[in-house]
Amino acid sequence: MAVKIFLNEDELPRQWYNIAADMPNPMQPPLHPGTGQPLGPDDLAPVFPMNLIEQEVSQERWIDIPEPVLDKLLIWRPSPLYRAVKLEQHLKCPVKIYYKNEGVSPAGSHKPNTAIPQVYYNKVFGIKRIATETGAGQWGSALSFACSQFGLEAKVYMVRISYEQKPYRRLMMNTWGATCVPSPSTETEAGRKMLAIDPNSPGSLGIAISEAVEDAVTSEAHGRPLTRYSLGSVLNHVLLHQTIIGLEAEKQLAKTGDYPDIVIGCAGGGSNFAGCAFPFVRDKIAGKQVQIIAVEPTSCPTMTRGPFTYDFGDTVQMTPLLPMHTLGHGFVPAPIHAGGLRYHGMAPLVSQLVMDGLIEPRAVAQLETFAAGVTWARTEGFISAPETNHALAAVIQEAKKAKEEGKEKVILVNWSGHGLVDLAAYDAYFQGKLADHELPQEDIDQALKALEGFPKPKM
Amino acid sequence: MNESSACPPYVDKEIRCPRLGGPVTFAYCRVERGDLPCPRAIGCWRAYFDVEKLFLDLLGPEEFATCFFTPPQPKVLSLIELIEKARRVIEQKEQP
Repeated sequence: MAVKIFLNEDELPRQWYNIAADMPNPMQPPLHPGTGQPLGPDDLAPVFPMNLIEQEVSQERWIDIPEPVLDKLLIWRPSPLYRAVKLEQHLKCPVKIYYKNEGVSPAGSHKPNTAIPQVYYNKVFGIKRIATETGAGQWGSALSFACSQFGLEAKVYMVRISYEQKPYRRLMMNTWGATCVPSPSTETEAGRKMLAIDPNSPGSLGIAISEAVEDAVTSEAHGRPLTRYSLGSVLNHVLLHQTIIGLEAEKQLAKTGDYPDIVIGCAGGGSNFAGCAFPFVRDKIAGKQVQIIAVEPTSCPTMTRGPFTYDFGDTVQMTPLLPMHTLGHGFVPAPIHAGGLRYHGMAPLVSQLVMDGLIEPRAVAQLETFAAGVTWARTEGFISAPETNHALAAVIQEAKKAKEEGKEKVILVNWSGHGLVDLAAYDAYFQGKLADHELPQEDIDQALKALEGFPKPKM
Repeated sequence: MNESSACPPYVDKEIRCPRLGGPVTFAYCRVERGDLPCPRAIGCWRAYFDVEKLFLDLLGPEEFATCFFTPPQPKVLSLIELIEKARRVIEQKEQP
């Protein structure tokens, strides 16, 4: 039995899959927060190059991956598909478990799958420099790596408290040649204003985004190289770039003769889940029998308990209004050790597919996710990122369910990244410092009151 | 915010911030938005002390509701608005 199923380099997919072309209910356009009217390409032009904006609104089913992007992706792609034999033996359930190992990328996660094409499209559009923000540093490091590959400058505004606490991601960025500064910085008006108020400000994601956007918009006026901004999740073009995961998995599974009964991924902003799942959602739309599960934390249940409405696209309310599942941006999640699952609003494409009944959302409690991660580490060997553990918990649930039902099943899961830079979370788990926090319904109801008066999408 | 009454019960206690992915003290959450607390501060800290009461005392009912249970003005907080803000920075620089 093969444990690793490889693709040759010449088998790397040459196109991304754009699910917008196959949506049973087409996506509704983002609304301008000021006018309530659909956003136009020019609204976003100061921060994104037009070729990426075109991808954001594209209805083409297949979009060619440019050769220079393929060349860079080959550094770690095609990523191996593993058969989780040791876990299967441990569980003693009638399942075959396959996992796509996205932890093999230079940055250790799926994030470079979109960082590479985003930087490439900026480069061909004539952009010389990219600014972004980062909290813990996952996105900042992925973008830094990508910029180093294409010879663009990268400027990363890292929230000061993280900058001081977490040197490893910052050092990764530096090693790839990026300039990483603590935010608030003295380099933007937004940063200087904050420092004038509090010279010791620890910063926040809101300030960091303000700085990155200002950096991009004012670059020419300030004599800096032409700069644009970059975002690592939620948006359509980000999910598009991630579909290479599922497209590879399809080819690899074909080599085994298996097709998944269940596809599982963890879903924060939705990009790694969508990347693995969307090619299989396409099959499901075409009539194939496949269960597709998006896993989220019980403490931040945006899909399993939130309604479908308009809300801001990220936790700091800085992206345009998009239709998505949400608990409202007044929602206050319980502490949870999965920074990548911090979005209170799911990607609009994923939200719509949940509404269409093509994706099944599931919430898993924090302690169960860490238990799954430890079981995984002690069987398969790899130490998972805390957010990846959500998907692994669902894998174990489904394996046990198959045993109870007496059914043989094939499960595919996206192993979205390793947890080697987040071992403190495991330490907290082992020391018994973590607790489960299920959000009471009255808390959700209270948060949702904040959304009254917002426009509702067509159902 | 009333600084004299803002002393948190846990000065050194750290929890993991779900937005940053790292440890923070209550002092950070209390002023995460400049003079205002992080909108998630109640959910993150309610397991450790009566954080709702603390913020009600500090902010008063109106500002408390504005801070935790109403969405910020989209114009102020959207990316589009940030672009406009940045453009004003350029305009100010160009003024003699």
